Amino acid sequence: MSEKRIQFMAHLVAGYPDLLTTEIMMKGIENAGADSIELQIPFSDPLADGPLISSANHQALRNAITLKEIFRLLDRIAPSLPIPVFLMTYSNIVFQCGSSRFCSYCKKAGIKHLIVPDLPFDSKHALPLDLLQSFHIDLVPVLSPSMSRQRLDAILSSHPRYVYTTLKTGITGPEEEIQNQGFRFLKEIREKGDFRIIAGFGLQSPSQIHFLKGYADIAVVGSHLLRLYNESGSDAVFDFIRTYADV
Amino acid sequence: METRQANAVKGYFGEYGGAYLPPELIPVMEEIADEYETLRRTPTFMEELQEYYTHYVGRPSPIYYAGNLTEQIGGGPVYLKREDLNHTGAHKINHCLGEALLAKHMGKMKLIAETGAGQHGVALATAAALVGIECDIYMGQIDIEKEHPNVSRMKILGARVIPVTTNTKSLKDAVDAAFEAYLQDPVNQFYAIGSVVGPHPFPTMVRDFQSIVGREARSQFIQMTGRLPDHVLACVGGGSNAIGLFSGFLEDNEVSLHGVEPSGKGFKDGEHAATLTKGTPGILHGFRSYLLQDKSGQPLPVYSVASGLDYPGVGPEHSYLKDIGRVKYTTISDEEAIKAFFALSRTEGIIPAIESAHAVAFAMKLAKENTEKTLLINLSGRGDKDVDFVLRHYGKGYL
Repeated sequence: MSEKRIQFMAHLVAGYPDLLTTEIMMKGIENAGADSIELQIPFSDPLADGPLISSANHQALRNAITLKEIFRLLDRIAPSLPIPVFLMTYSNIVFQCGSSRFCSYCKKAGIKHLIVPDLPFDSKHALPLDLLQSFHIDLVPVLSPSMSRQRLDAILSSHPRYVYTTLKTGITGPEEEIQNQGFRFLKEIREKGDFRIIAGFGLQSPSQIHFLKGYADIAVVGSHLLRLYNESGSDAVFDFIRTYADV
Repeated sequence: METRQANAVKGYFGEYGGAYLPPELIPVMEEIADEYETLRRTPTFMEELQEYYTHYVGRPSPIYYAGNLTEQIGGGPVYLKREDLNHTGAHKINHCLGEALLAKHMGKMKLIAETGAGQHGVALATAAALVGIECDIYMGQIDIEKEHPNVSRMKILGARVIPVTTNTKSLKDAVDAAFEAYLQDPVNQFYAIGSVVGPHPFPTMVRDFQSIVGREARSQFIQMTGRLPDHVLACVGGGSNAIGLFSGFLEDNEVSLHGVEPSGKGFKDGEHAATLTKGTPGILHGFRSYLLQDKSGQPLPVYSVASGLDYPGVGPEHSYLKDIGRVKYTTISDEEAIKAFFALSRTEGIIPAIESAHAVAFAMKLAKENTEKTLLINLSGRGDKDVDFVLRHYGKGYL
C-alpha cells in the first residue's frame, strides 16, 4: 500500500490539550492509517512554528506537562505502536535535560528519529554524531529552499536517511510560484542522493498530498490536523487520515 | 585580556551567542551579517551615521558630575553619562539609527521589532520615520496598557503597534510574535532586535552601534578628571546600554565594571529578572546565554518594576564577561530603585528611567563604601514615561 502513495506523517503536540488525549490520538491516528507520527515536545518559544502550533505548545505547558510524563507515555505505548514516532523539540529542551540523558530516554522508549529545528549542524553546542549513534538515534536534518547550497551540501554529505523540509519563506508571490519553488527544491534534493524526503508544505487536502508524488516520500500534516481537532474533535482528524489512507 | 577577540568566530562570545535558528532564518541572518560587515568598513555609511549622531541625536551626550547626589550620599564622587538627553530620551536611538540605515541600504521595505516598555519601539519608529521605511512594532497587551504614552508616540510617528495577546502578553511573547511575522517575509522585512540579544549578528552589531557611548565617556571622563573612573555602572536587562558603556573600558583592567540586574520583589521565581545572578546557560530566541528557566528548559516568568529589564535572557557577551570575571553582576530591588529614582530627581533635578535608577541605586551603595573612588553611571534614559506609574504606586511615601 505504502508503495502506491506518499506516506502520511501526522504531527501532534504532546500534552495538547492533555496527555490522555495525546495517547488516544496516537493510537487513533495509527488506526486510521497514518504511516508515522511526529510528536512535538512542547516549548514556550517555538520559533519554527506558526501561531496555531505555538498556541497548542502554550496550552500544553499551562497544563504543566513535563518531559518525564511524555517519556513515561512513550515508554508505555511507543514500543507496541506499529508505526514509528519521530520526536521533535527545540534545542533547549534537549540540552537542559542533558544530551546523553535525552538520548537514553529516547532509546528506552524505542524512539529512533529526532528532529530539532533550531540546532544547525555547525553550532558550537550540537548533538555529537557518536552520541547519537551509540543510542541508535537518527537526527533528521531540517532543510529549507532558501538555505545556501554550501550548507545544503554539507548537511547531505553526511548521508542522512531522512531529511525534513518545510516551506514558509518567501511568501511574496502567487501560491503556484511558492509551490514551484518548493517542488524545485524537492527535485534538487532528490537528485543529490537517496534520502527519504519528509515534506511539510502547509498541506490541507488529500489532493495536495497526492500532488507531492514523485517529489517527496512522506507528507507531514500538522496545522491542518490541529485545526480539525480544535473545530471538530479527534474523529475529524481520524476521518481526514482515513480518507487519504484509503485511496 | 581576550575580550575583544572573543566573538571573532561567527558571533560566539566564549560558549555563548551563536545562531540557533530554524534553517529558513539562517540565510537571512547571514545576509544581515555580511551586509553589516561590508557597511561598517564603508566610510560613507559610518559618516552618515555619525552625522545623525551629531546633528539629530545631539551627541556627544555630556558627562555630568552629580555633586548634590554625591554630597547626600557622603561618599565617592558620582558622574552620569547623560544618555537621557539623546533625542527620544534614551540610548536606544544609537542602535536604532544604525539598524534603520542598514535596512535601508539592504533595500528592505519594513522594519519590525518587539518592544517592552516601548523605548525601543519609539526609537525605532523615530528612525523609521527619518529614513523613510514602514515600521511594525509588536508589543504585549499588558505593556500596551501600562505604557500608553509610548504607544501614542509610536502611532504619531507613523508606526503600526500590533498587540500581542498570546501567552504572557509581555516582552518575551512580543519577541515570538515578531519572529513569527519575520518568518512570513524575511525578504522584505528587517527585524531590528532591540538589544544585544538574539542570533548573530545582533549582539555584535547592536554593541558596535552602542559603543559610541563608551568611547565618548572614556575620553570625556579623562578630560574632566585627568584619569579613568574607578567604577563604571549600568543596568542590565538585555544589556545594550551596559555593553555600550563597558565597551569603552574593557581593556582598562583598573576600572571595575558593574552590571545591575533587577531583583524585583525578591528571588522567588517570577518575582525578579536577575538572569545572570540566578540563571543557568540555555538557548532561547536563537542564541545561547544565561537564562532564567525551569528544570525542563522552559523560560520562567519574570518581573521587574522596570519593563525594560523584564526579560528571562540576557545578551551573550554579558554571560561571557560574567564567566571570565571581567564584569561583576549585582542586583537592586524595586524598592531600592524607586528610592534612587526620587533621590536623583530631588537632588539633581534629573528624573531617570526606572531602568537607569537601578544603576543609580547601586552606585549610591558603592559610593558610600568607597569614599575615595570615582563612579560613572550610564544614565541610559529619562523617566518621563514612568512618572504616572511611580506616583500611582509609590507616591505615598514621597509626597
